Amino acid sequence: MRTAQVAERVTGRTRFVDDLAVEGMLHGSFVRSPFPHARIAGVDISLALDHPAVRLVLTAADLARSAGIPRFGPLVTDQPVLADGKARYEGEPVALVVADSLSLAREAAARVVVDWEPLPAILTVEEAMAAAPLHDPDRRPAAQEPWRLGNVMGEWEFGWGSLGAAEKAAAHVVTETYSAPFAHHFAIETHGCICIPTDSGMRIISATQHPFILRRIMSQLLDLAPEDVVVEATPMGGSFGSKGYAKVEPAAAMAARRLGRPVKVVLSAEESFATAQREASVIHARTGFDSTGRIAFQDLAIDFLVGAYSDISPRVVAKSGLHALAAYHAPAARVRARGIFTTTPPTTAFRGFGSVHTAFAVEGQMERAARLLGHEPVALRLSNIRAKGARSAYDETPVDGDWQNLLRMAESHIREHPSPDADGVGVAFGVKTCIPATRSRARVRQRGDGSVVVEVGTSEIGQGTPALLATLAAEQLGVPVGRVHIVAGQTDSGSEDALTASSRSVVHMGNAVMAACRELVERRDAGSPDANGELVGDGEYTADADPDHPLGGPTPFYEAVATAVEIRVDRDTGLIDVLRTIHATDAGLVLDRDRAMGLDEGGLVMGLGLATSEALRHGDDGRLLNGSSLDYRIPTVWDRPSEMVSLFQENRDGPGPFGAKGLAEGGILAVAPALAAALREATGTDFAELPFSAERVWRAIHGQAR
Amino acid sequence: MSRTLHPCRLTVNGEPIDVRIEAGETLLEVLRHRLALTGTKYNCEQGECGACTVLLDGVAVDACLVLALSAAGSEVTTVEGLSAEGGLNPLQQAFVECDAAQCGYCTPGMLVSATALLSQDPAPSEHEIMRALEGNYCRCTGYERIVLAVERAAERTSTETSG
Repeated sequence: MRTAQVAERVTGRTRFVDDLAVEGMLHGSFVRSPFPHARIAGVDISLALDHPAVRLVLTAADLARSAGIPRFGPLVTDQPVLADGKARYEGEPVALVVADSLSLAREAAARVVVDWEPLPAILTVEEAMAAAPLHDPDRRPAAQEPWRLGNVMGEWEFGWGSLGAAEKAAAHVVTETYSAPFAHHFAIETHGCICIPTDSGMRIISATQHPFILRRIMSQLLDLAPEDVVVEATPMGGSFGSKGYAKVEPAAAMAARRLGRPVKVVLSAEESFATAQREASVIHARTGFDSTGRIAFQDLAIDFLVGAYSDISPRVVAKSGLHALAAYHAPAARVRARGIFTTTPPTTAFRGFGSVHTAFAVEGQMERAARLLGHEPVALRLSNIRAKGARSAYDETPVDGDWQNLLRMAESHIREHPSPDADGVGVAFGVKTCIPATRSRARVRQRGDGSVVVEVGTSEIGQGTPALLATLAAEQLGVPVGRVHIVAGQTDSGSEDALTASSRSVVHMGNAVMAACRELVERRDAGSPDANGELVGDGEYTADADPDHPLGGPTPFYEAVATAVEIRVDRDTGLIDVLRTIHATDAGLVLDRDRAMGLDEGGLVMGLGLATSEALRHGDDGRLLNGSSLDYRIPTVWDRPSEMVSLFQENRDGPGPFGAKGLAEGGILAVAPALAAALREATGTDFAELPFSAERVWRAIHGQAR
Repeated sequence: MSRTLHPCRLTVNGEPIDVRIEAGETLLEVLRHRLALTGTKYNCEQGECGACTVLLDGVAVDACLVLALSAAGSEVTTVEGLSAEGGLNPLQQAFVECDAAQCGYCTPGMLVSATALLSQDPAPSEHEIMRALEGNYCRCTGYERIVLAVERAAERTSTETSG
């Protein structure tokens, strides 16, 4: 199935959202705030309305209800459909201009005149703490209590053991502050949707990871029953977390409803920069060790800068905070994780879901401790890493894989054939948990002619899961893959799914498909087709919930990796040449080896980009300096390592089909700390601030602090 | 507001086509909006990402930077024209075998850039392949499988040519 899907892609036949058109479709373009923070004193749309091709100029004034402007969000409904009275980030939509074509809509959008009164930008923790609250607490219902904390979106604290006693007993303490900048997902396809009013509600064709969550958000926003909103997820031209929840759909749907006509909204690349970003972080880490090198305590204070609205950030902050300490045994621990509002675009999920930040800190601590204690860095990790079966606090799932072996695999391969011109080698461990307590339902139908339809709520992002699941179904049912059809990411299908994220789909939807196939085979064996002459099998998989668990349940599995890098540093330019990477994944079982390796390679190179060049930079006025494809530097073909090796540990110990675990995010998890360790070896300098840009590396080599 | 439309003759994927277009329309807009050839993608609209790469008289160009009227009389090849309907050429076949496309959004531009290279140099070095693809962003694959696929296609084609 996968090869058929790739064949569709190499011939240009795959239809992404902007390749689709529907009868009578109009096009929308946003008017956006040029300021990171500004009061809106007035909006004059008269010039835009004079444009002959304009059908609608939608502003907050058109949308206001007695309860104020309609707002949306997956957890807290804090994001206004259009800015109301105030813009809280550069690029926040103020109006949506709908016209006969996109170019005409863009032309007319430039005619909307907004009277701005700029306010101070908030870009750092310190600025956020000193500034007046970005959000008006009076407007919030009681359920949105976090807003009462000034510019702190929310704060979560986890801990166990006696930190005070452990601090007194520790022989060594390592202290460091780690930071990472805002970043952009940079899916090559931008955000987009088509909203089509129907007799009963709204049909939404969207490049969305989570059609079922989008249906919930949109039905609430439009005051419709969930079944009256139909969401069809198109194949996405990449997402990496950027196309989850609701992004452009709310305003597009409101315009479509008002006009009674389909409205397409597809963003420019610059607009996608202003629509989804990855959070920035500052992590203060203190780690104590006893005289033998065993961790005595961990103490992390994590601040995530989350942008102007919450999106899924409360979950990113809480989840990566709790699981920051998943890798190593610590008898005493405290983690305080905060989300802080800034006048930047809302941050959202990004491959790794916060774990990339915390692994950079925790692994950096191990490197520093190894030096302090005179241990080999990997040996120090091996003596502290949690063994298979080990339990942690909060009734979390026991470790489900041989993590020691992963580290040994990565280390032995990188040391086996050292490159003669290498300057440094680094090895790091990364682990990410999966979203708890979610459900997947699949439906498999065998038609009278023997062909099979596999219905999965999973969307196609480039990870290839729908095709993989259809292949699995073909094998289970004994049908050639050429006779299997996939229905993926459609809310009006026989499948239902929580979301396509968190590397969960192979396990959750995979088990649901397996169960559906079993039911179909039972009916086939019993000779009992339904009234349509079809054999139908339904299957379901639900991960355990636990109301006492801080995240609502234990992780269904761990996504654990060890990454080793070998580098050469150009001493004249500070550029890092990555000679080799070894990436070992605890896969349980690999179901599609080529794609698994490709996902690892892609995650690694994305991780290298984030670790060496990717950072959203702001000027003194708080405005973004590099929010375009030209100025924000993602890896090109030159930046790929000369050699990339993917290794898999396959002990069939995962909860998915045949013992599989999810693996789509793993490539990115441990790249930054591995590279930092290699850079330390190459330059003698500890790097605690991401990215390790050529300038920073050059300054480190030439002894010029900045 | 009336807009003047100008006649423009192009040969697209071997077929002569007459369209009437505005002076400011890019080749990308004409291909996607006027001719419904949506295989050609876009991201940056400023000549950086390579997603809209097409062949213009055999040369790989960013269609977002070419005013369509300036291409009048030229031969344009898009991803749709790389192989006969329903078939795969050796380069496309190599992309499938190497799993060189994940989301597939950058793929049409990658294929066109690689096609331009292989038409000039049927047996390029890895360095030459990287130079040919350096203007095409991919965010999914890490490029490894794309380079492998171009190498494999080159090997296969040059083997066939040399008998």
